Amino acid sequence: MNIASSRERGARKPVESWYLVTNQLNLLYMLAAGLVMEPSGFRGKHYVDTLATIPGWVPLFRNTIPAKAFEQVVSERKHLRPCVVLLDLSGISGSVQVLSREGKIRDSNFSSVRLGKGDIAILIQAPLPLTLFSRICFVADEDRKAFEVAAKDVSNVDLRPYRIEVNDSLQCNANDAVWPPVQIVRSRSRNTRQKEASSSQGDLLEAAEDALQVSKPLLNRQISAQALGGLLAMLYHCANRSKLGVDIFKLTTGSSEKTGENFIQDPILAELPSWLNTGEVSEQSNTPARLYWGAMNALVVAQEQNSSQPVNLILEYLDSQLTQLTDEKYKSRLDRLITDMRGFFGLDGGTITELFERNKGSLSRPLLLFCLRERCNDLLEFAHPLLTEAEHLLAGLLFGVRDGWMRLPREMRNQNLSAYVMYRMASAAHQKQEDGLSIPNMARPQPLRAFFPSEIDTWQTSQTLAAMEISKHSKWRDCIETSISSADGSLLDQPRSQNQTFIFVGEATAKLRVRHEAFFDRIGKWPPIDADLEFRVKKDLSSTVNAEANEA
Amino acid sequence: MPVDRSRRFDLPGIQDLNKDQDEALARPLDGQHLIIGGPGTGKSVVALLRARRLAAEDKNYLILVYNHLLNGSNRKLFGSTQSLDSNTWEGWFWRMYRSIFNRSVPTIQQENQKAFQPVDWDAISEASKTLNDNELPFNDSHFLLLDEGQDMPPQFYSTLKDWGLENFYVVADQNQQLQPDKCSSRQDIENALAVNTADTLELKANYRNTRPVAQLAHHFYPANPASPRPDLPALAPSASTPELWTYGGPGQPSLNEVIGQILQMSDRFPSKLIGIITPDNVVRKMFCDAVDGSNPRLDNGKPPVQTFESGQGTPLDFGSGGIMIINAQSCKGLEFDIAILANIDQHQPKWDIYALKSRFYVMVARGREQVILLRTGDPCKVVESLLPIDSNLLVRKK
Repeated sequence: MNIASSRERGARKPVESWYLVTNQLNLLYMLAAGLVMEPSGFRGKHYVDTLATIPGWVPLFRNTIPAKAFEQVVSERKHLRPCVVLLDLSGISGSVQVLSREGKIRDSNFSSVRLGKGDIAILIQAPLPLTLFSRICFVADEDRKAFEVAAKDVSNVDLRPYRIEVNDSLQCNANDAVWPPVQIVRSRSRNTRQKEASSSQGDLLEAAEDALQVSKPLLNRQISAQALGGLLAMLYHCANRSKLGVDIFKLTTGSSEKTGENFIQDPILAELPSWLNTGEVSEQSNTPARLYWGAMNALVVAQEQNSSQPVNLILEYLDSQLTQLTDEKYKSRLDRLITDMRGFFGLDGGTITELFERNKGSLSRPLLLFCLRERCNDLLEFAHPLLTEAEHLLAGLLFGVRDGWMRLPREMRNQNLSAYVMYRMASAAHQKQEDGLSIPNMARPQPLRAFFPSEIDTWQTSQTLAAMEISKHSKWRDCIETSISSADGSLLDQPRSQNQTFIFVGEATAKLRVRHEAFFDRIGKWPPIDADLEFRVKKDLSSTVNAEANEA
Repeated sequence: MPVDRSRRFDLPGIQDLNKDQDEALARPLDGQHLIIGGPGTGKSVVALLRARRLAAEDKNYLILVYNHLLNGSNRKLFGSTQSLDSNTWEGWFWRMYRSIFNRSVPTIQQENQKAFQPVDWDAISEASKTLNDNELPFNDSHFLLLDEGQDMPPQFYSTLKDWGLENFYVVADQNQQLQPDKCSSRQDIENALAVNTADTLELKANYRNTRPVAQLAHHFYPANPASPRPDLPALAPSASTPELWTYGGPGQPSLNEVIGQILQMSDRFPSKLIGIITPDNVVRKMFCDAVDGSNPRLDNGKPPVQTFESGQGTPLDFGSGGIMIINAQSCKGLEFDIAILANIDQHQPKWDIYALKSRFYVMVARGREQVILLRTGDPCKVVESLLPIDSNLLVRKK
């Protein structure tokens, strides 16, 4: 993956490649999911491959690959094509297992792993982030084409970050080792022992992570990796709409300079840090907050199990709460909300304004939006004068958790965000498994809005120029205004108009200014600005804003 | 600012395609392929994705469908980045025949001159056999995709073979035959294309409808073993149980009130296309007039309203949300976000339960996310006997 520059590595060593052998369709699924996963992560669509050999463990070959592995990965269906992904594991630390030709497993630590002549692979705990991918190889050009064509048929696979090659030597040089191993001496049941052995190492890693970051990213251990990925992506994209959104995203990614969470006025949104840390709301939370996060927990379970219609699941949860509520005020509000949620797709729903007028507050409106809009990008496009930013963010959290990273379309996966989300998803999974595997950190992405403070008097020249560039490139005429004044300060006469030009008598100077309110409004809208432009602007601002501040 | 009513036709996510669909998509571009599946199993999507591949590879391809509406709908589904080479099968065949033989398609004369003149396939077959190899209009560089292939007669397939066409990709559903005596069975197509039964790929998973809609469609499944019954769809982002509303009677909403509610529904979901499927032209016109005259409170103004009648020249726009009022005969193969089946008690034929059930099966499966049934206060016993009693399948609203 072309993100090596954003990877925070230690001292550079020669890159060693490890081979993951799979087929083109499993690879496409993993590219969408952002993770190399065990078969259960494929939710019923896993084609037999090397990942199925010891569920939970990713076999990575070194030097040569067993010919039988190539046969295995295309064994299920006629149209499968073998492919080999080369992984660069530098920066990984933790326990691995070494697999011998005879199917024997011995423990090792990744940093000291040595493969002997009789060893064919290491087994590393799934999942792994795709940020470890260095190349994708096919043994025939026809296979590569089949893969690339199949990728174009789907909405959630972006091949641009990956190096894709044809290399028939991988198959030509295949060895005759037995694969899959006839007898596996030990498998995943060892996890608990391994957890204990690696716990002290885990503490050290956490300490190192703390030192690296302003604050620690929040993690709810109940939430699945996919749901976390979806949540982070939605917070990232929603953040462009408001300062609050930027602050919440920073808080969630551990890059917030704010020490407490007091900047969050909305009582439901204020529970986000607590929920992300513990899966529960704080003791002082109010009834709507408990209902919202309870509904969210129901959604987390649904996402994990892929078991039921999300709206129905939330309705079931709210129904169960209705009977327990004793406060008549909340009870009648919840009753009305449930009725309106049930009627959203029926004939007696009314308009959105009517629904928002009937159901006020940051519990009701996010839940109504959850019914009223289908996809994450539908929500990002949605605006209504009655909807507050906190309510939109809370709706975004619901959508993100429901869809997970997997369902997000290409346009919601920019490279920096993808790399960070993959790292967070993999890290979260390993923390949950308590297996001690550590994944190299990825740089935290910043939403575009984060580069343009709401306090416009603090803007530096580079920010104004960047806002101008974005507005011109995006053809946002309403974001720029031109003031014209006489060079000597005297009053200008009325101009005359000629060929779409205003002509002033005397010497005048023109000055361009950003119309900040319109600019903030525009960058908060979906779809986002051109990806290349955004990347360039962020890069320039990252390097200049601090420098200008120091000069000032 | 006016609301954006553009409909999105997103490609499926990798997780949305099941293993059979993967296989259907991975079939080689050349050769003969038959894909069978019920409504909503993604047959048309698979055919369109294949057309995209052919277009991307600059192949000489054409996708044929059964009617103009489906043709328009497919063009929208294909997306705007490239143009779809598609046509209705009859119009295309008539033009091809004329260009090859310099005369009209032969028909069988009827005593009544004004009566429908069926195509004389025997005469076409005779004429086709006179073509020399160098006169054949097709060769192995041509690729033909047929959507709703069951609605084309068996002789159509054999004629195309006679004309030198070798590369076929047919998607079909025997449970959706319009006129069984003039359509092709699975066996007919397999025979005509020399496809082994074992090589015919069956799509079973419902891809289009939400689970509640698919459950209602299952209820009306007419059970022809030649096309597998679609499996229920998996988790979908949002779903609601289909509703049955009775209007026009004492204590019931008036037609005008129901129409107001439909307009408000369209207002809530501006980019969704709501299809009102009527049993005949009288009901279609009645609903058109009622929509025209209704002015409920709306956030975004009145949505675009379109209708279609046979012979209409203006193509319908499937690219924007709004309301489309069409007859049941025209709805096959189309996809709406929400399908409203108007005046359900007036559908025919009442004497043929199988055909009536098939019609409901096809109509219900048009609704991707929601289906609403409307009836007046005068229910028909035959139709009532077809409706589910289980409120998990159909909620009877008052």
